[in-house]
Amino acid sequence: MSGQTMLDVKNLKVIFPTPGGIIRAVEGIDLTIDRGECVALVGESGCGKSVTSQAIMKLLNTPPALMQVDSLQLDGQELKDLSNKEMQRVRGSKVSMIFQDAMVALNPVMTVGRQIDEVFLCHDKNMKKEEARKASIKALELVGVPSPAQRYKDFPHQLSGGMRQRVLIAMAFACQPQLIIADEPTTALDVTIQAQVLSVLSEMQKKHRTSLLLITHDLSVVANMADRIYVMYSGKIVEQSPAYELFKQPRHPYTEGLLGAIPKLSDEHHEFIQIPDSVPSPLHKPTGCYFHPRCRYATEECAKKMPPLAPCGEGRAVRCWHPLGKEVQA
Amino acid sequence: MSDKALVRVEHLNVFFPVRGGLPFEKKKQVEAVCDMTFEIRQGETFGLIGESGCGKTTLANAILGMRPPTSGKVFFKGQDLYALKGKDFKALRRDMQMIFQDPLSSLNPRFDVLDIISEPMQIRGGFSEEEMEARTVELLEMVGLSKEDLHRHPSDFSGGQRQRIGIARAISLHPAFLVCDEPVSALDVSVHAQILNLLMRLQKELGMTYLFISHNLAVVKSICSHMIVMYLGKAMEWGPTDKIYKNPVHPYTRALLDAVLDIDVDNKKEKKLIQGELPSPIDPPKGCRFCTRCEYATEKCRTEAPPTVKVEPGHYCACHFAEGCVSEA
Repeated sequence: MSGQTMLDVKNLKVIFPTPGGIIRAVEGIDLTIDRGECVALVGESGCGKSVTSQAIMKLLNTPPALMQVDSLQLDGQELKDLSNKEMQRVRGSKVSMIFQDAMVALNPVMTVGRQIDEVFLCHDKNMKKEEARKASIKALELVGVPSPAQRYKDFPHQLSGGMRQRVLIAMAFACQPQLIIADEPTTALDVTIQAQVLSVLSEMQKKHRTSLLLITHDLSVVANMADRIYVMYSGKIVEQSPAYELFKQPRHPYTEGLLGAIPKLSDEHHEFIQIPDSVPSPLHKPTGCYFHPRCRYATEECAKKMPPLAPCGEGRAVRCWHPLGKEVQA
Repeated sequence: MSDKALVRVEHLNVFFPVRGGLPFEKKKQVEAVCDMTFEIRQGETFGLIGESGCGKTTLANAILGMRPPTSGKVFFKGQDLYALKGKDFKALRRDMQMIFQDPLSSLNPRFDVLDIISEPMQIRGGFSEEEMEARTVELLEMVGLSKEDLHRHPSDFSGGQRQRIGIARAISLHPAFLVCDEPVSALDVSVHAQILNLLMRLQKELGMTYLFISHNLAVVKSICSHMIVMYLGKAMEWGPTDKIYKNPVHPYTRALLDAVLDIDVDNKKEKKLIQGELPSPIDPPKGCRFCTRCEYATEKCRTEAPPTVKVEPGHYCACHFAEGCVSEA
């Protein structure tokens, strides 16, 4: 591909050996993100989304985790064999992360300003503290924190949830990285604040032409943000597609289920559509297609063989023996 | 007042004193719940909507008799809850139960499922060990778990299953009234539907009345018959759910509706995002409490408390400009 590819992950596998057996958290995932593109990784809790993101950042503790990847390229640079020290230089300056729970991600005994300073000081050894302070205040201002000079001196507990999340966004964008991974950035927030934080995130991404990997369990979050969507289930990608087409016509029954589960304002019915049961235990994954015990279209074939991730249509692929919406293909 | 009301709240105020300040300074207080009046009818699901920190949970606690109000009254089955003492209070309180937001922190990690679900029965007394176990199994099956789960611990379950345990515990003594405090907001979207359907089914089977607390208007829409939109301790708009959704009058209600994320990729609406965050309830804005974030706010809004305006039968709104909407409609 051209130099437009920002992140290129090939065949990423992560396993956790436990006394109860081997947990295959991520089973061979291919992921690409172009420059300035917003890509969403969607799936339920326990499907391996967060492990994937941590593996890309090389934040997984090995051991206990075992990670294997054919290639992990960021902007043409191979990260696979980098030592921890070298990786430290990449993190924050080239790729950074926004975590789900801002209260846990921030240091409670340090002012938020000093925490943003740290990002600058770590990556630019010549920077003076005073310069870092100015840069931090500017960073806070950019993400829409009111009176940033005062907030600079606040501790995390003095800020509201939405403000804390903004601080994390400011930190992530501080060194203008090329890729940002946002792991459920709005799950802990109210709907009103969620909408605000998403608009800040999307604005910042557009302004800096950053690539964004957005990880979430809620498809409605990504509907108006993502360019492309990967749907993950039990450690495997089950569908990948440009966002618009995915919402128009989901091809995998799991995607259909996720879409149906979202409560909508336009709904008139009084019963919610649900996907039965929950994600299978990673210790005892079903045979064949992992989704077949919960799938309403499942046939005998589904219980026997795992379907391949087969291309179907423009930029789309689906891992299913009986993809939905065949008529579209014809 | 209709005789079908199960819960009636009259001019309920819950204030918390703020510690500190100068010795002779006027003591400050947090006005968590301010002059709330409403009634919940037998068998309905009543929605209570608002952002974090607007007093929803405090109000729920006051209704359940867990937080004595500063002033005002709560009636349950026609009896004044806070006038009752000792045994009478306990007997009445037994009929009201609660489901909490975070299913992990509301379950004792050292207890197994049997202990958790049978604890209300133990406290009430009069059940033998066998009866309690049989009832627990029955409850587990009602909420979609099985007998095998009896001796497992909360850490063995997923979020949705934990919430099911919380529900089983809440209904173990056949309550008439159940407070659901954001029962799905800590769960995955795909599990939302499962838990909401379960709650609706149980309501039908057991004839319970729900007070459903949420900040997501899309969830409330299909399950509640009446609702109140609350902001900084005060009611902003209240009435039958379908009327409010069809004709939202208060700017805050409209903003909440706009904040619901849509998956309709074809017609992207231009949305008006509500700016800023909830101001501190210690020093709430004078006049209309929403004036600091309201795009239509005028001088009048900042100085005068808004009147209650009847928009249509049963549908009320506290806004200076609500009358304009009435003539429009």
